[in-house]
Amino acid sequence: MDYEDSRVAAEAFAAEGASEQQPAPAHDHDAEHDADQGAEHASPAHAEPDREGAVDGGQHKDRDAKVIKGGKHRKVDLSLGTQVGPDGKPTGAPGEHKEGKVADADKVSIIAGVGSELEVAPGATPTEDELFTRGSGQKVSKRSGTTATPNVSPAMVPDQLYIDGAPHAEDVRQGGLGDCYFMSCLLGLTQNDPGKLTSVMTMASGDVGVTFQRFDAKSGAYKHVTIHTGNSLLTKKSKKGHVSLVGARMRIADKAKRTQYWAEVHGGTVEIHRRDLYETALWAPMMEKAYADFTQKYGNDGQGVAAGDKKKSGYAVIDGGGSVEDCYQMFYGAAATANTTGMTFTPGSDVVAGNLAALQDLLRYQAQKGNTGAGTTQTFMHARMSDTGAVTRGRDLIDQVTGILFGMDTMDSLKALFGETTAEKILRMLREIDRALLRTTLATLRTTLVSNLAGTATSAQVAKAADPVSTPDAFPHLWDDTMPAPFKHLRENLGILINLGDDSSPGRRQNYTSHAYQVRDVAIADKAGAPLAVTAATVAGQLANIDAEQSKVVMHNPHATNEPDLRGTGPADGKDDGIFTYTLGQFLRNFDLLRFANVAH
Amino acid sequence: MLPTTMRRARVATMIVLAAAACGKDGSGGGARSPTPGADTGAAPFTLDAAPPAPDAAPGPTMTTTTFHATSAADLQLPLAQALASAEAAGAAELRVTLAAGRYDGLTLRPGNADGSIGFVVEPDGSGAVVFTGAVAIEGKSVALRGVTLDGARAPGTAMRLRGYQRVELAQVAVIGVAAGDPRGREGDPLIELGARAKGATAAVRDLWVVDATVSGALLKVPVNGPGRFAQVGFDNVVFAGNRAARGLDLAGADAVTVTGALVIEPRLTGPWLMVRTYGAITLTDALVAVRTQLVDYAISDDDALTDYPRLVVERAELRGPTAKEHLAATATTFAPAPPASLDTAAIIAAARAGGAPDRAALTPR
Repeated sequence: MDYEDSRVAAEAFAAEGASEQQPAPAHDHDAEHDADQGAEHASPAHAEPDREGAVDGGQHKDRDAKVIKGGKHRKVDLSLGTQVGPDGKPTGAPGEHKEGKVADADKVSIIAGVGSELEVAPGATPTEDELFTRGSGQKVSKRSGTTATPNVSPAMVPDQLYIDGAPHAEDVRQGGLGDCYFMSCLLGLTQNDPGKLTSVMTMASGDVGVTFQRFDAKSGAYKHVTIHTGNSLLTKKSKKGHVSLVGARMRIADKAKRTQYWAEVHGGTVEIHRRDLYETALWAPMMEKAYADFTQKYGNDGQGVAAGDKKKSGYAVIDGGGSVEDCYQMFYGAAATANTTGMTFTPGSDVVAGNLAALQDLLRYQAQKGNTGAGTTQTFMHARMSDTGAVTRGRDLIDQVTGILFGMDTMDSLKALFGETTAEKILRMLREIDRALLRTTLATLRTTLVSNLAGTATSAQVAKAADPVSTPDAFPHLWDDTMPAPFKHLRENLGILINLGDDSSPGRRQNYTSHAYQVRDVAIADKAGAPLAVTAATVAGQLANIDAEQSKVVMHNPHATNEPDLRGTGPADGKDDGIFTYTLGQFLRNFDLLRFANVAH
Repeated sequence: MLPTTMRRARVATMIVLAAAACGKDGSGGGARSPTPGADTGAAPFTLDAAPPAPDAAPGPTMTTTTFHATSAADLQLPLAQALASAEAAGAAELRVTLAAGRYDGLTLRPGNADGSIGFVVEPDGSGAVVFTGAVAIEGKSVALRGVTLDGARAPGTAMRLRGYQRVELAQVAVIGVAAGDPRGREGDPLIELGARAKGATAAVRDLWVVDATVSGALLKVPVNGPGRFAQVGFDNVVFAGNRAARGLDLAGADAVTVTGALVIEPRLTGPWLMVRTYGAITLTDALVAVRTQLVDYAISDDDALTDYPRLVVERAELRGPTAKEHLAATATTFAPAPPASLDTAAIIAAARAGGAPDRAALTPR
């Protein structure tokens, strides 16, 4: 697998086993192995004191989390990152450009050379005289580049963690580690309290320091501990020799922040160079690296390492998954309280009325997410669907759809339920397709789902059985939105089931199971689509006015891609950045657990 | 006057304001047996508070609102509205009585999130109360008594009780429950007891946890927020035939006592006791049979196993690969043989019957 293709990689990782505990992708067998931890980077061993009066003596050397098989810590450079296009897709790192040589006999004296580069505003072009003068100095016979078309070498702005001075949600781009829960927490922080991230991270002389909080069993209190990451990230090399990050991706700014020109003479050629310095969102992969190291020392929730995990790499531990709501304690300590609320969906029932507690939590989140002032409570919200939930709901939806298609064989019974037009359409479409095939395929899938719940069929078998039913337009009832609601609901559920288990992803999806999505916004509306002024305290009395399909929930996939896309034709909003909007009904049908944290500031 | 929707639900709902004295912990009752004092008649809604009981200790009057549910639907909107009414009336406690039957689940949290109201949830005495979904209750004091989670499927933790002052879990059976994503690694526990304030206490008695499937611990006392239990007591608890990563995961408590435990866990993948607290832990009158180790300690970079106080074990029978070096054991026998495969049928039958476990009768020989 070539990890440069982050879409492919992320898709594969998700399908390989889900991402609240997404396993890392299979590493290339010939990948470079390196047991020498951090061998290629300096160990500055800073002795920065812990913050806020911590007393655990936590001045830790840059020891780095142990590398995992196939991985190697390498010094960070721009080639490890990627820019992101307007369509949300990664476009890779800016490349070098080398000019050819042309005849240009003269003597030159360098004005702006290596170490004395001329800094110009990005986009500006200096004159040749600002770089070197002619007529005296070193004799040359050729020239490479001009000030208008120089040799170009992109690089990172040194000691810079952020693009435009702050962390942004689009910086969070989960890679090949199964730590979506941590990445999702970073999404919550970037949206609702980015100042927390900047307050816990420092960078000087190439070394990044991240201050987490961990629970100290001895004193029964949280203590701050600063992890120093050095200037390297975990990488791997593909069979083709391409080096890429194992974990979180590093976003590169669209445009260079600074531009430097210089000239130098090599072998009788005067070369004109431009260095474009880009800001990067280095903070995100460095935060992940620090978290891996922290986990190795204190456990992935900062509450200690079980004896059985003591020899494990922190990367391996975080790759094993976790709970997003517990991550906030590493940033806020005892001020953060984790919680979960289940969500139910029974086909045919009122999904809004059946999820009052979840609605109250979502509304509380919407009201409190921006609270960062002293004395306020701030909420961070996430959601996930479990394998079991998806399979159970799929089974129930098949029962309902099968009942409509095959349990009501008279026009009258269908008409009574759905009206004459829909009833006629259901029967007409039934006549036009292979009824027996549909019936058999649904029955096979149902049997597989039941077996899965009993533990006798694997997730991969579920995905395989769901695939033929989910193929776009294969069974037109599922794709016709004038059909009764259960058809659409089953279509969505199949988009979850086809991605269960291993890497059998067909490139289509609704949302993934065991994956920690972040909730960005919640908007409650009535049947006309008008916003409803409803709060957690008043929602119980307003349930009848809430329209599940007019109300919206905006979500963010920490993959920074892989939005709902049942046809495999791309995301509905045309931007493949991981941010998408569900109706409240879709949200409640396709997720079964809210995971959230309340922070008392 | 109740809102319209509430009045509609009155067919199955009765609310009475009663009085009780502050300081009473509300223990007792429960059991899968009739609960004394449960009023099952259809009384009109009233805001008149009865006078304090004659034997009430001096102090402010504590009003209790009682909500009687007879169907799963009652535990949705009608209960939410009853809670809002109780809070608006300044009630200190909402007592939820449940008619015999099956209920999807229950979420009960104070609307104003300041922990000013407590909750008691128990059967009304008319028969077995079975939950098939998750139960989550958070309040000043929380008591859940006399109910069964049987075959429940919970997307997260199946039972979460959090209290500012006291948490009580009594005569409860958790049978064949799958919690969290059993195939996942998110680590949700089956049961969580949480302290919302420092100094809270928790009491668990006559608890049966049998044949559960969960990716995390069977029962977790986490560090979560500013709260911490001063004391957690387990009395007469049965853990048998569960599939889980750990048994008890103890972090947010200064002292833990486990008395009269019957633990037969051949399917745990980790220790029965995961210790993350330096508080004293005492295991008394227990039979613990496991294939993995009895106890494990969470070790950070800055501490070591020897920093933890020794686990105190008294009058216990420990079967399995138990490491003795960090135990202070008295009158305790050790048997190296792992437990035989367990037929949980008898234990499940006993759990469904309720009452205190009879260890001698349940122990496979």
